Amino acid sequence: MNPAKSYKKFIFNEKIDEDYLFSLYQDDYEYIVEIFNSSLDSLKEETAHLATAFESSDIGLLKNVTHKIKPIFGFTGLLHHQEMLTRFEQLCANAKGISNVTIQYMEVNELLKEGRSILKDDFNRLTEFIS
Amino acid sequence: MKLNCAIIEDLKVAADYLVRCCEKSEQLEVKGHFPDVKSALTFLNKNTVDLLFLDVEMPGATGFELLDNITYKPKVILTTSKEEYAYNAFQYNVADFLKKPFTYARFLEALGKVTSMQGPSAGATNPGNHIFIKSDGKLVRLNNDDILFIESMGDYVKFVTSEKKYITYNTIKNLEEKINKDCFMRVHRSYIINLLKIDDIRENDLFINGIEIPISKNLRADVLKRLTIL
Repeated sequence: MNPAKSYKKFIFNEKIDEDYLFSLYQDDYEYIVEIFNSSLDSLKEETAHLATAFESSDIGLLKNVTHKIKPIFGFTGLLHHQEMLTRFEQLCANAKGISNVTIQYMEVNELLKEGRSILKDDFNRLTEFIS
Repeated sequence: MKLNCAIIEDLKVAADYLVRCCEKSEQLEVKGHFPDVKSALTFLNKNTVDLLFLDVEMPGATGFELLDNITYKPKVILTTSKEEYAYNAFQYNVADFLKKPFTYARFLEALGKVTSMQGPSAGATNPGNHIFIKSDGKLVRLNNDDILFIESMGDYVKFVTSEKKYITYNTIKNLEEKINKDCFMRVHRSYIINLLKIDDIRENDLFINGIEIPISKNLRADVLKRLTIL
């Protein structure tokens, strides 16, 4: 959110909604790097919590951790990922037990891996871009 | 003048973003940000802020539980990624509701609602950290912090501080509408007390500086709601 700088336009991964990202941070690439970095840390931590919740068959905790992860994807413009987590959170809220969400949990896990990979890659490229 | 605020948010990226928005607005001074209700309550019951940015779902306790346990009533903007809390938000007189993530423009809109609540009409019922009373032919300034309680004496009221008592022509009913509700509360038809001065509560009485003050049965639950009971 610093004043706009005269960078060339950076091309984000196609799965990141660039317009949405700019609506939050304008073209403050340095701040976007900070956001990506902080989001990667949070994703790593919360993915571990999600696994713990699943392994301990705690559906309530699984829902709560999903709820916490969801906006991380919003803050980084990965809106499809955010939407999928919203659905999974809703599924957990309505499920009677962990067995009802096992398949979807596996899918969410893959989604988290993909999200982290996209963010890590764009974090590296953007860091290089602004340096 | 800047408003003092605190951020209670367990997601770091969201808390950092809020801090940036607050700084950019130049209308807010962030006094602290806390990842859970427990650490926030410890701070908020020792320090007064004008505004809370409050997440709802956090580890240990919810944002609404924090509001139940804080001893005064700052303005509140809820920050959450769920909209189901709208009804609770209404009940807690929340100023606005920011769905994460939100744009800076949306943040300013929410802040605008808070600052408009701080306007002249709100000011008339919330005089800040002090009052003036007529006593002995002059206007005497009393800091809220110095007032222990106010007692009705028919057409007069007695302001009791730890140092002195002041008797002035007024009624408890009239004062109840004008005093700062963040720290004062009517607990009985004849008493308004400073919530920060309560030493202890036994059944239907509370004690301030060794003085016993009755609590109306119908107000007891409200009094307990304003206290931090762990």
